[in-house]
Amino acid sequence: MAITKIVRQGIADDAIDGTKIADDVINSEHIVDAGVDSAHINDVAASKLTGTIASGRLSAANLGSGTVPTARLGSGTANNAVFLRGDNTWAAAGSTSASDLTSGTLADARFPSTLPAISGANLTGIVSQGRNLIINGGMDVWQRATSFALTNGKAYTADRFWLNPQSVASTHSRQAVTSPIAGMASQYCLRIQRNINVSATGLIYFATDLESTNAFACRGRKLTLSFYARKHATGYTATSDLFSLGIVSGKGTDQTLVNGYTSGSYVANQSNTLTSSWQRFTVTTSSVIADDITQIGLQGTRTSVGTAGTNDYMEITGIQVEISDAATDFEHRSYGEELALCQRYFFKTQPQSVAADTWSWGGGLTIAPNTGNRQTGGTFPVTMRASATVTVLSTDSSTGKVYRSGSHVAASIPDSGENGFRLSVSGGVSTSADAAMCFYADAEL
Amino acid sequence: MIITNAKYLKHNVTDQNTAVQATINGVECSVPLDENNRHYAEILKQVADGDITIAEAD
Repeated sequence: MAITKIVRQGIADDAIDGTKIADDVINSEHIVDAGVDSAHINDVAASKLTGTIASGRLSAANLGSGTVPTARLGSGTANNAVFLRGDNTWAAAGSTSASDLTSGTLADARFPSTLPAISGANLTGIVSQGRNLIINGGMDVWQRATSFALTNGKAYTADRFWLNPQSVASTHSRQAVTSPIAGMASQYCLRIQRNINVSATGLIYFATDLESTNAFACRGRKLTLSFYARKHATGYTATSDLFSLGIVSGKGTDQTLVNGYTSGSYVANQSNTLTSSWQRFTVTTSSVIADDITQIGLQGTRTSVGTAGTNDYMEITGIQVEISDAATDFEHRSYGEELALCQRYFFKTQPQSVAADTWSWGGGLTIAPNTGNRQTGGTFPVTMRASATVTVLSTDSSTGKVYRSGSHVAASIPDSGENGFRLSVSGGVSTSADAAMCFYADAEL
Repeated sequence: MIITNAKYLKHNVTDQNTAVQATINGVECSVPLDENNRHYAEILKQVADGDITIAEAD
């Protein structure tokens, strides 16, 4: 009887000797999954491995050793000048675009020792000298004096800055910066202080006005104001420890904020919460300065609450306004540069260590002995903003007089301009004595 | 700004007024006739308001 079918269960383990199975007798479709264990696959000739290995039959993780031939990885010829591209092609490496460098830092060695020439027109956004529109923002120059007792009305203190207390007895003074300010190595600051036991709580205005000529450059650009400020730890009485400061624009010519600018308005303003530590505050205009603006200034206010103790003060320095939509480091100018900028608005002949209302012959005028009505002239070191108001002082610091032959005699200034003045001494100068005087000139806004 | 004793000064050649001598906030000074000068602008304002007068030059 012929055997027509042998079922799997009818074949005992190891019952069939592999050598008894002729070539091509068993087709792969007759081997069920896991039907032949690896122990019974031995020495399969490569010629028997044909067709395609189905997905999942050979995991790349099982390639435990050896090297995959490059022909199995991509088309083309593999060598040390090509790389395997994502489309399975051995391709030559192309040039690298600088725009592909999206992270990391180029080493210095990758730059040539001599950089190529670049047109200045292509250098934009460079942080340059002269960017601070505010003169004396570092509170370096104090030509008039270093301490000012005020109650009412506008009065210049540090050069270019004025205060205007509203019926508040107050003292505003130069103070040395004794603790370092991070990012701003300032020598001095301005202290704005309500006097002890004063209960008046009017505002104290703090401001500077740019002359119109300097405002035109701001048109069509955003401005950023930055400054450093702090308060006394416990003595400052302003509501919520606030101090506000902002940029004001206007449409007049060389006006002052004490009278208001024509069409004046804040283009940036901010209330700043002070602490006993120096902080830098910044604020940027929300839009560009309009093309019809002819005036730019800064105005701040401090409030007061209750009765002042001994330390009802705040301090400010490092004031900068720049044509930018972000604050850059405070621009330090040399003292000589800052002084020359200030002298366009105020100039004195006394040494800088002597207040302007005090006699000192630091380079004032003399008139050689003569008789009759005697005249002389003085020249300012820089061209002043406008024809200057001139005040002469005699050796006893009396104003409108000069020293002559042991007395102080009247002097007048019939001519004064932007560059100098002419002085006339009543009664002339005797043949036996010189006349001496010092003077200061004011062309502030 | 407290202004007192305002008086014109004349140029000795042209015989024209060239400045105002005045005491401003207690300080005697000479103010040029320049409307861009803040002291002269204030003198003009106070004259217009009738607060001060400027005496003629000697």
